Amino acid sequence: MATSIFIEDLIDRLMRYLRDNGVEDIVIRGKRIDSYVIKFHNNNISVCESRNNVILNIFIGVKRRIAELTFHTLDEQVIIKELDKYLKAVNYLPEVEGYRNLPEDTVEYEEPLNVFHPDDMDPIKGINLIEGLINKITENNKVSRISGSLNMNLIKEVMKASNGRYCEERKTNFNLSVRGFRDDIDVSYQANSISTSLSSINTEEITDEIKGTLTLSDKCETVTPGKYDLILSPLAVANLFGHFTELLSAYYIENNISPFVNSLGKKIAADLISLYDYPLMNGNPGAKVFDDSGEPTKNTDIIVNGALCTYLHNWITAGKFGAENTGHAGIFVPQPHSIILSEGDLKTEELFNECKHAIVISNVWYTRFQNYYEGIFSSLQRDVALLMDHGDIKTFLSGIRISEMVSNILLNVTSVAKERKWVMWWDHPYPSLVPYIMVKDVNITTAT
Amino acid sequence: MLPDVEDLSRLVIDRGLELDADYVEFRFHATYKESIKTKDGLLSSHNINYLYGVGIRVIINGAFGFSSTNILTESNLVRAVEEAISIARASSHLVEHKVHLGEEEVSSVEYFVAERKRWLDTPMEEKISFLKDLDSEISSLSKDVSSYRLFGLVYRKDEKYISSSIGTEVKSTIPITYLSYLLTVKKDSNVIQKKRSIGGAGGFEAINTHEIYQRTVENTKEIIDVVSNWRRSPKGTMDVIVGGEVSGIIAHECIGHSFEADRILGREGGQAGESYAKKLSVGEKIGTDEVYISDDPTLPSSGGYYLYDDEGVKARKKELIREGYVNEFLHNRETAYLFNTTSNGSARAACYDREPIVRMSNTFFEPGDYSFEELLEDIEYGVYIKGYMEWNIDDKRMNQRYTGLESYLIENGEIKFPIKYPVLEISTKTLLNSLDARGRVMEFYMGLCGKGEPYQLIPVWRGGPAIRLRGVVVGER
Repeated sequence: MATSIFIEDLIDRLMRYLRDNGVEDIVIRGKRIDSYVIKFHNNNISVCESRNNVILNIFIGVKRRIAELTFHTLDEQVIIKELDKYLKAVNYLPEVEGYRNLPEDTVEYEEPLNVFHPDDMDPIKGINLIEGLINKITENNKVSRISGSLNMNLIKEVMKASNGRYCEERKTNFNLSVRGFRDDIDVSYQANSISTSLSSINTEEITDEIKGTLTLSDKCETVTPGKYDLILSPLAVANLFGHFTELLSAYYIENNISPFVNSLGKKIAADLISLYDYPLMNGNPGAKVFDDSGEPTKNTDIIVNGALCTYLHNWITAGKFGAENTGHAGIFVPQPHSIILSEGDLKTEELFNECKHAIVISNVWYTRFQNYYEGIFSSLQRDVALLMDHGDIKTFLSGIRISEMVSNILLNVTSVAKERKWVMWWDHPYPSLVPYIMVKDVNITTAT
Repeated sequence: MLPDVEDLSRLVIDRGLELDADYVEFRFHATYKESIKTKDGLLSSHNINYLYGVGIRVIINGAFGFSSTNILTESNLVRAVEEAISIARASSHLVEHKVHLGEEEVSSVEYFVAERKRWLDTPMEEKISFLKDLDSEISSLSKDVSSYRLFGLVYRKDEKYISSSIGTEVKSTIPITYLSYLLTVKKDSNVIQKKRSIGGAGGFEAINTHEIYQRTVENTKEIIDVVSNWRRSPKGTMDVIVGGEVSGIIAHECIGHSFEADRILGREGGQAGESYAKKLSVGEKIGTDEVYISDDPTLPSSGGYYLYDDEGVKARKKELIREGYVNEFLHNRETAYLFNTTSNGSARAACYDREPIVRMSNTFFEPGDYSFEELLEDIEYGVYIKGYMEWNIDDKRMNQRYTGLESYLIENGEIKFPIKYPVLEISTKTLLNSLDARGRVMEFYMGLCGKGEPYQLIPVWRGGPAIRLRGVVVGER
């Protein structure tokens, strides 16, 4: 079996082998992932899945040539063979633009609390949870059926680097995503709960949200294109801000595939918007102690009161930009660990009451860009939307496509709710702690 | 050393049957993937991925269980099949519609795609020279524009051994080579960006087979012309011709995905979505007589090539829509049983640790008999959307949008000048009922299609000829 001792022993031998072959920079990460997925549809379990994998990531920097190798095996002969192939080819490779050696400074690693609950990794508990949900949501209700999944992951990772860095981390995360359908008027609502422990997955809230929302109206109309004030739910906020945060990676900036080029220190969002990535926050389902280069992660303020404070960096892009390494490697592409929006002043209920004429969008998906540099994108309504008038619900709406510029969305935020929620789902891979927000004058189109 | 997978498969299947499984399927799946990327002609990254392991699928008491591991010891594989059975059994009381598999012919076969110029034997210098030469030619195409160029040369090879308790035994090896690029071209204050992937099955020779170099240079010339000369797009109701790149994404998104039987049954309801085809049946008319759309994994040198699917079923061409009528859906063995038909070999798994689910392969509009000039000739006023950048489609695959990139005004049967970002935002119903002619020249593009939980990205081709849509609404960005 692949115990931690076995993986560490293999990492030590590979480290020695690479050093003996003249490799200057080495980071080896060994990861063991045990996971369960319970997928369900139409009130039936579709499949129960179990995974038990070991993964070895090796970063090599030699003579300013670099590569990242990923192995889903601990077979030493297979790994050495691939490493040899690379080392033989290395002299024929050109140097990588802007490369710098791994940093040599001494570091300390901080560990967030409440991120490891191994006793919750029980598939039977997961199956029971789904059974309870099916019964609760569909009994005596207009909700005809539910579909979704429960993901349960236990990750043990050890990292060793040629600059003397070494660290281990262990964490669990649980993600329940449930989509309820009301077939009589063809609408759906998706609710989500993520946590580092299964016992914190809030099935009651999910049940209430789905049953409550899908019975707010008995009619659904196609949206009329035009400019609207929007109230975006946490799932919709997470999707859009997830895409926007990716575009704050220094990789996208240096390659002109972001609307945030040359935006450091500038106002890119409304004053109400502060965006953080806090991988060391206790209980963060996206917690991370070290990045892919072995750099300690840190809590990073990305946007504060609408002003852009930093791009997301690894040690290479930080060197190129003359900036501080934010601990977001990706060796080649820095990327966020989690997305956190600051809380606002209004209770969510007050935010709803504040709107005179607005559309509430409960979820979006398929966000795609026509032009990353100019931030031209569109995103589609995934689940139910509500037409609101002075706090009253007029009807459900369908067919909504947000057709906008990134800058318009960010600068036109007029209200942010106080309550925030952790969310993550199939079309949004980053754990995100986000509130409801209101955005004014958003362009909405639909198909003809 | 790779393990003796045949021995391991017998061990797993025997243990599964001992524990009363009704069906046991074993898939050893190795994937080697290498990507070399350049930025403006300089090497920017080099990734090598070597993934292998075993996926085990069982049916017990009418419930599916799946277990995967890459720790390929006998004891761990026995543990894996036992776990698949245990979790399936524990969930079976929540499976109202018990899983049955369609009765298909049992396959025992070995096949492979030969690399005429083996990727691993091709010197690294040659691969990098290809990217540098291409970058150099593209950067020197025009002195009037500035450009930023990201290229990625990708090789992927999948080797599988699939066996099952009903006697299936399929061995396959399929390599794919393709180029992905993202170009940014600036002309004064105008900026245009284009993403595209071209390539298909084979080794390094795919570079030539698919004319990757020439097609990329030609596409860049088009982009430079468009950003240098574009004018405002017209809007309103008019005739539209879309090129093969756009007809390909339409075939994939609004027909291919909708015709996946598992989506129709709601199995992707919480993930990739459902389908308008839930309300359709085979034989129903949904488009004009000119609508012919197929999915064919057996196309030689294609990006979505295979001859046997990941349930061991022999693959074949599937004519999804013929003369505007629904002809068949995409099936695996589970959905085929529920539709009272046989599997048409559409089960695919992206990696050893993913379950095989219903997927597309190479999806396309069939060619017609029009030349491009004939498609144009009676259009008084319209637009030609040759290529696109932004696209999206709703959960049920009815409300979709394709925003043109390489796009032109048509006037009196002639292409006049480039236009900026015409928008085709259209329902599937309107689209399929406005199509009146198909060109005869086919184009195919690589894509990575996402579906499933956990997410599965699989290589596909999307393509077709230019097609003409009569009287549809065009918008502008």
